[in-house]
Amino acid sequence: MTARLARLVLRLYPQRWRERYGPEYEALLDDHGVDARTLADMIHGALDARFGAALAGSQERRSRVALAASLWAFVAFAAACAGFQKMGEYDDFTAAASHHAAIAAGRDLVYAGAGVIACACCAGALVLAPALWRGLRRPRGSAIVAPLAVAAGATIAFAVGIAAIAVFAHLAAPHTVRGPANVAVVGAWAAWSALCAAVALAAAGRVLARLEIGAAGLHRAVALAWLGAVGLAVGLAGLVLWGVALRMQAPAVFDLSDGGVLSTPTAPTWAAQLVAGGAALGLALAALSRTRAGGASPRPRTGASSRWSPPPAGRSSSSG
Amino acid sequence: MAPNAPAPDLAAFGRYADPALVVMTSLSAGPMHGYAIIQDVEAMGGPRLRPGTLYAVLARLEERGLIEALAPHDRRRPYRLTAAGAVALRAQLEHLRRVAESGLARLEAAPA
Repeated sequence: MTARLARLVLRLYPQRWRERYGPEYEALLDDHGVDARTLADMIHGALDARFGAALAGSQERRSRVALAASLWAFVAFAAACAGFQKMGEYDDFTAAASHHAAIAAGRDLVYAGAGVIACACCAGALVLAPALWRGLRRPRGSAIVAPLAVAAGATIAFAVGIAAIAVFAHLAAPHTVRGPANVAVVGAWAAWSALCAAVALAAAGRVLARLEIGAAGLHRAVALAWLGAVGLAVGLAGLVLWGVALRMQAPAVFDLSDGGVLSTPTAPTWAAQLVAGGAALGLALAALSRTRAGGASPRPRTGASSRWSPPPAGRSSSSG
Repeated sequence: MAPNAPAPDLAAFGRYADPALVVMTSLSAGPMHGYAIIQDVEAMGGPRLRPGTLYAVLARLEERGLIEALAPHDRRRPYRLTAAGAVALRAQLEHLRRVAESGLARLEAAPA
């Protein structure tokens, strides 16, 4: 049973890693045997093979990974903000904000944080634009064209999909908040948004890994990502303040059983936004903190990629 | 190497620095495949390496050119220390020896 589990765990390793090390690794498992701790060690090794190299490589490589991770974090926070905006637009919440300064301050901090993130992203795009332009103009075609097309396609698909869902919502005219039509609309909106965002972000990560960015450009982009992380922190602080102030100053609104998205209770909706915002901030800080000097690979690669790549095997034919 | 200079290469291995050191030490005796390395490290009194950790270390060492893979024998592929690996290992061990000697001297000089 454990041997079968070990074979399954082996599949968690990247394909190219398995092609390089798979047979000898299986031979080692046959010799060594497999128990629960070995399985846990294998899972850790698989995660390391997928992500460890990207997070422990040269400073340039870590910077590129940090930029991609920051993008994921910013989009995750945008999703939390979308839920916050949807909840906060109802009369109960706007009235509470207009009567209590702390609630309004929390709301405004969320908006300010989102604004800082948006500015950081726009400035980062401007910083990276020359490298993008150079990459697109390369005479023999560039490795960034395909992932860029995927990112653009996912963005277009997102817009088209949301429009289609809006048309459906208009035709279905769902009047019951928790009715099947409305749940389907909101669910489809969330699922389609998440899918398109994941595809676009994965493709953007590929582009970031392959762009020929100078050290100065990369440094500026990372600095702007730090600015975005500050925006995340401000937004998260605003979210905390908003919820706490609402609970203290307008408990009736905080305790509403149908104040949240899809008429869910207010408190769990707020808690879910906090979790999403906290996870986004944690991800951004964890990735960006690794861009600091130190731990650089002694043999940094050019055109660094976040994917693990196998070294050549069997350089010598001498027996061991 | 200056007395306070950091040991080369292995500092970049993070939590795999110690396993990398014992694996390189093991390979300094000659080429070995994975299971033989695990047994040799245990015989040296080193930590019990498991397959996931061992191959995380081997992949890093190979990527940095500190070890190299040889032709496999019946799926078991031996690895050997490269010249660069031997230099890095020697520097690392010299560094550790200085730390150990310094620490022991201080302990002996300290009042009981």
